[in-house]
Formats: sequence, C-alpha cells, structure tokens
Amino acid sequence: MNTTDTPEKLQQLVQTIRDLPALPEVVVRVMRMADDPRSDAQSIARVIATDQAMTARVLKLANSAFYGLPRRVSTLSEAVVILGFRTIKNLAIAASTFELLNREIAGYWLQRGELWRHSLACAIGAQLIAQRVRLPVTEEAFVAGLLHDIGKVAINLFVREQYEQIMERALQDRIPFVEAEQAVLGFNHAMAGALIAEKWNLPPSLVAVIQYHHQPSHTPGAEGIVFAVHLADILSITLGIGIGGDGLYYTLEEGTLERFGLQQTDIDEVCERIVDQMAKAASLNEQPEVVLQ
Amino acid sequence: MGNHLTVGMGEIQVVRGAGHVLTALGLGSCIGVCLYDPLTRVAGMVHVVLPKSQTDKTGELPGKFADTAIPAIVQRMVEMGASASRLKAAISGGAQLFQFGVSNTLDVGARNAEAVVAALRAAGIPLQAKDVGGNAGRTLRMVSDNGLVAVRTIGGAERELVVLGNILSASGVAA
Repeated sequence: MNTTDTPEKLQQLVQTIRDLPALPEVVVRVMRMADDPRSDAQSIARVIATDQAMTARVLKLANSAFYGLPRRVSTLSEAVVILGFRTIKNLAIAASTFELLNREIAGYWLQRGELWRHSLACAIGAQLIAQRVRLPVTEEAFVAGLLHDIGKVAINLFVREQYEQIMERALQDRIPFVEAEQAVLGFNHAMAGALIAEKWNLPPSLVAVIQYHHQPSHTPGAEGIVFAVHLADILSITLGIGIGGDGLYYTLEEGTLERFGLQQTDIDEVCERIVDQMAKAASLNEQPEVVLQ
Repeated sequence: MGNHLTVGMGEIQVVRGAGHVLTALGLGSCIGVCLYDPLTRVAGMVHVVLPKSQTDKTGELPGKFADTAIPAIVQRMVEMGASASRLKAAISGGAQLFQFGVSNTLDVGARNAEAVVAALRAAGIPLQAKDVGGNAGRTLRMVSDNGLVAVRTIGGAERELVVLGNILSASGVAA
C-alpha cells in the first residue's frame, strides 16, 4: 500500500478536478427547469437559446438518426415540443460533456472516442433496463449512465503512472480493477466521478449513482437506478463497447439480476438492443464541433 | 498497407487479394471470426455478439449471432470467389467478467465461443487457432496477403496467432 503518499495524491486529484471545465450555466438551468412542473417548452427553449453553441448542438443531436424524427426540426421550441423536456435536458448534458468524455484516456488505454462510446452504451442500457423493470426514472437513468465513468477523466494520469501496479494488485488479490485503484492510489474512478458531479452541482441522486456504480447495494436507500446503471455498465463492458486496459476486470454485484427478476434471455435481449441502438447512435459520435465551454 | 477495414459489432467484412487488413476493435465477450481461402486470398471477418437472436429479427445483421453469422459470411466469401471447402478459421475474444463464479447468466463469452465453434463445425470449416476466454479486451487483426491473424490484448503487446495461408492440411485444433 502506498499509504504514505496517498494524502498528497488526493490533494493532486482535488486540484485536477478543480481544473476541469465547469458545466455550462445553461445546462444547470435546463436541468432545474426540466424537473420543475411549472416549466413549459417555451421557457426552456428560451434558456437554451441564450447559448448559441448549445442551441446548434442540441438541434444537431435532435436531428440525428438516433431520434429518427420524421422531419427536420429547425427551432428549439419545436425540438422541446416533439422530444419532451427530459430528452432535451439529456441532449444538453450530452452536448456539454461530449468533449470531456471524448478525450483519449491513456491511463486506461482508451483511444479518443472510446470512453464516449462506453458512456453512451451505458446510458442507452440504463434507460432500457429502467424501462423494462418499470423504474420511474428512465431519463435520469440515461444521464446517470452517460456520466457514470466521468471520474476516469480525472484519475487518468494517476492510473497511467501506476497502471502496472493496479493491474498486478487486481490479479494478485483477485479484486476488480476499481478496488485495485483504491488499494494502490487511495481513491478510485467512482469516487472521483462523484467529486466532479458535486463540483457541477448535479443533484445528489446523480452523485450517488456515479459514486456507487460498482457497488450499488452500498448506496444509501439502495435506489433502483444505481442497480440499473451498474448492470448497464457491466453489460457494456461485457460487450466490449469502449473497454480499455481494465477490460472485463469487474464483477456484477450479487443480487442485481435477482432484484430486477431478470433471466439470461432478458439480459441477451438487452445486450442486443444496446448494440442496435449504438449502431443508430453512430451519428452522435462524430461531432468534432461539440465543445465544452 | 492498402485497405484498412474495421469490423464493427455484428458486421461482416470480406475482401479479396493482397493489401487488405481487417480489424475488430474492443472484443470483450464478442468473438471475432477470421476465415481465409489461401488459393484465392479471399479473407473474411465477422464480429459475433451473441449466440443466437432473442428478438428474431432475421436478416437485419446476420453477423450479430453465431448461428446466422457463419453461414452468412461463408456465402459472402463464396460470392467473392472463395471455395467453402478450402476455408480455414481462427477465432478470438469470448472474454468473461472477473471473479464471476456464482451464476452463469452473464457468461456470454463462453456461450459465444461454444456457439461459434459449433457453427464452424456444422459448416465443416477447420478451426486452426483460437485465443478465447480470460478477462482482457482484445483487438483482432487479419492480413489478406497470407491470412496472418494477430491478437492484441488491450494494454498489452500484439502477438501472432496463426498464418491461415500457411496451413495446407485440413485438420483443425481440438475445439
């Protein structure tokens, strides 16, 4: 254990997170409004419209093959009406985190674009699972899935420096990669992700999903959404979508499938749908102009 | 090198002649199947995702499922001039989650490998080399010049698995 230099590393991590870009103010406002029953399409459209770049990105995403709209949507208020508040909120979050998640994450041997693909697959999977087991939070599951691994961006350099030790620890002690991160570095990507989510003022429920996505039963209240994101993450990893050097060195927490009453055929079907939707979402992966402010 | 083609999930790619490289990136529990006809240099790769379809959408992406992938790729290769009787195979992928012993519900990797091996056997194609299982992600590459198949573990070095064009006998490895 490198306990002696852990506090110093933790300081460095906190600094790294401080240096990450903020979530654009517009997204924070849209998130708040989308959850407020008094908001209407016009007022949400007006808020997004204050940010020109965001407006362009949201319209581009709304018109991508992923949503399969029958005709081209050219105004924000139209997009909000057709896709709904919650989807627009997702689009705004996706648009604003794309640049960060699309980076090369060398510590995990992830080429540029791979973490974004993994995040998107987890988002799609979490939403599918939430729908299937009738959780009342399908849109939130999408966002949580999209952001679950955001901590990898922050601990990337630390993992790169000690990748061999972390992998060795995982193999030697037969522990998942995330636990080996904790053992070697003194922190892990789930915890770092929760710190980022707090910095971004995301709702506590979202912070909790990110923090506990590898051990959902530890979540205070053991919310279903955390299990949905955990399962979606594990399925995306199993499918090899955006996996890096940490590969399949993860486990599915016992009791997850039982909690949802899912059988092997259900799991295969969810996998199949994730793959189908990822093919449709290919158009979402190529937006070089989508940048974080 | 001339033509680089990526073989995405459920996709089949078939090329003919020298100068092509087929690559399947990020194989987890999926299986990359390489087929090669040494005489015509017709090379094919398919990225199999699951053993068989649960939703029965036949024909959409036959490469996605082991049971439909092998007949589909063989047909494509024969259309390109290969002889089904000359085809040789190598497979890689089929990784599994770490420490997963309790239930086999998520054991997609092992089920995929089993289904692909069975489908190859049913098609009468000898399996010359395989690198399956374990917990690491893989990238699989095949060169059309000679049927060289190489596997890289993500985070590790690439190693040669087999040169399918060098194999003259029709015997396969024990599957």
